Amino acid sequence: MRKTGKILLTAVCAAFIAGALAGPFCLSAAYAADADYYAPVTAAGGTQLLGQLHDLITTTHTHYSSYSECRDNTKNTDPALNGEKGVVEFYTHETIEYYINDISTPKNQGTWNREHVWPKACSNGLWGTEGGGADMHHIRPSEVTLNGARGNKKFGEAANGGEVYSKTTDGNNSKPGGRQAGNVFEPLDDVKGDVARIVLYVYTHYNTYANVYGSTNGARGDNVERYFGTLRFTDIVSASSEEAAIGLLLEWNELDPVDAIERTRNEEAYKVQGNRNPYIDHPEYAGKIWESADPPDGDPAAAAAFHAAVGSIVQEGSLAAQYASLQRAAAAYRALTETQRQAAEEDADKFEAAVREFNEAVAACNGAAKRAEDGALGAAGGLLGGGGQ
Amino acid sequence: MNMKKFLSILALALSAAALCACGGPASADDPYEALNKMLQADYSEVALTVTTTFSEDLSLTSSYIITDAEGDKKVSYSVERFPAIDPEGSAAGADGEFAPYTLTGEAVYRGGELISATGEAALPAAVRGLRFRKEYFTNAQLTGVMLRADVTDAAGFLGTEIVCTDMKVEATFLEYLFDINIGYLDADGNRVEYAYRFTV
Repeated sequence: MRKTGKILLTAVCAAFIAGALAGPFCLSAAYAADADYYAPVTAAGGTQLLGQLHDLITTTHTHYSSYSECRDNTKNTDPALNGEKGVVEFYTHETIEYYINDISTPKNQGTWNREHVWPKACSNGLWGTEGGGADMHHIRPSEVTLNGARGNKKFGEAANGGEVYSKTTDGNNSKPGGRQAGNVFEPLDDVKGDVARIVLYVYTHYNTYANVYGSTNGARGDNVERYFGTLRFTDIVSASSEEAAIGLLLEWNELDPVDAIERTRNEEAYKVQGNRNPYIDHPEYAGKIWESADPPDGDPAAAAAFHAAVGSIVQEGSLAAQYASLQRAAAAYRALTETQRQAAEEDADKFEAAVREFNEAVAACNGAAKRAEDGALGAAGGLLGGGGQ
Repeated sequence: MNMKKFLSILALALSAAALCACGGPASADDPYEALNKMLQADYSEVALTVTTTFSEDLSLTSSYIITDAEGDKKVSYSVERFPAIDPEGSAAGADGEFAPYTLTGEAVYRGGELISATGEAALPAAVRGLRFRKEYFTNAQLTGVMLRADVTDAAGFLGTEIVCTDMKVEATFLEYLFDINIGYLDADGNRVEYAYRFTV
């Protein structure tokens, strides 16, 4: 009995010491508890791994938050550091106490609102404030002025750009949150990895399975397929090609490793939604998927994306609906290699015919407007010094 | 009445007659001619808006501001057009939203002839102008402050060839024109509205 007690005491002490030593890494215990989460992931890399992750994070995504839930959830997913009151601001890591509606300040400066890291304007119309637009792994709290400065700018290098700042509630500059140059926004170095892992999550989750080689577009039994569509990295990263865009994200993923803020929010979002951001749990997945060389005849996912986009082209109804579907197809078409375009000749012909028909309709509208304008200006002859008829 | 007073009154009367003859505020007997004279008056600014409506939620609007420019007429414009799709073009702007883009620029007219233009849209090289005549209209209601009529001779009224149906005009005025609104259906059945706003 004495020996048993000694062993037990030793075990408790060891556990205590191990816990104390673990310190900042104590959340790894939570990961161990969720080791089963990644059990279905068996692929070594490439599009197969991407497809498995897509299937995993969509089928386990059992609760899609509303936009107002996002606001309330943020207080748990992004608590201020060091026990302060408020939330931790995404781009500066400073504490912001008030939500946008909690206090009245000029232009709401110094308060926070919900930042779509992948803006809705860059989502090919895929989300507004629901689906991907209200996903806790995607939405981060951002100081209102800084959020406005970032706007719909793409992420990229802006070394020669001007610094942008968050504001205090008094309207003074608070902390630098990055740089901007033209339509490009570059976050601070210790936020770049966060941005990359969010973008990779959104891309993996919200593309249709045809675009990521998966097999599901959502949780079983839920009508969530409307949330899925076509996303490309060049929609959100300022780069000359998809390869260059993903290259920058991989670089940022490596430059800024996963930190405690990301781990905390991954756990909290998991509790709410049922799914996890795999690039936070396994940042190495990004390299395994995208650093593997594409086949010489192009990325098969790009060919599949184009085929799916052509199948979704709207040829009846409003010009607005036709335009949105054709822009998605055009983005997919531009991602094809010449070989792929030749192989997809039938789809390419359909796409070009639809574009031709759409452009003719647009030209007819613009021509009608031009005739009306010329008529109105012609009728204004007396007002233009013509002396009338 | 002494001679000095008589001459003063005569001078005033002659001045008023000369002012009318030079295109000042109208007082002609033919009310349509009075409107034509108002068109010739000096306005510090004329704002023209042209809206072509294709469906309930699809329209293009263009705006023109006409002002004096050292004796000539300067037109500053802002013209909307729908975007076409370029399959090989940049992905920039491919956000799925179908919205008009805007062309802007300026042009100068002298005597109704285009003499210079800078900007992104082409404007007519020469213009003639509206003319109000009784025979152009039917169902006309014309008072001292307002004209409302159906236009039966659109080309004659506008001074330019046009294929349209159901043209109507409304104008408000007093000594000068306040506004003229013209609406019609074009050859494709699109609703077109011209709105001229006059500032003395």
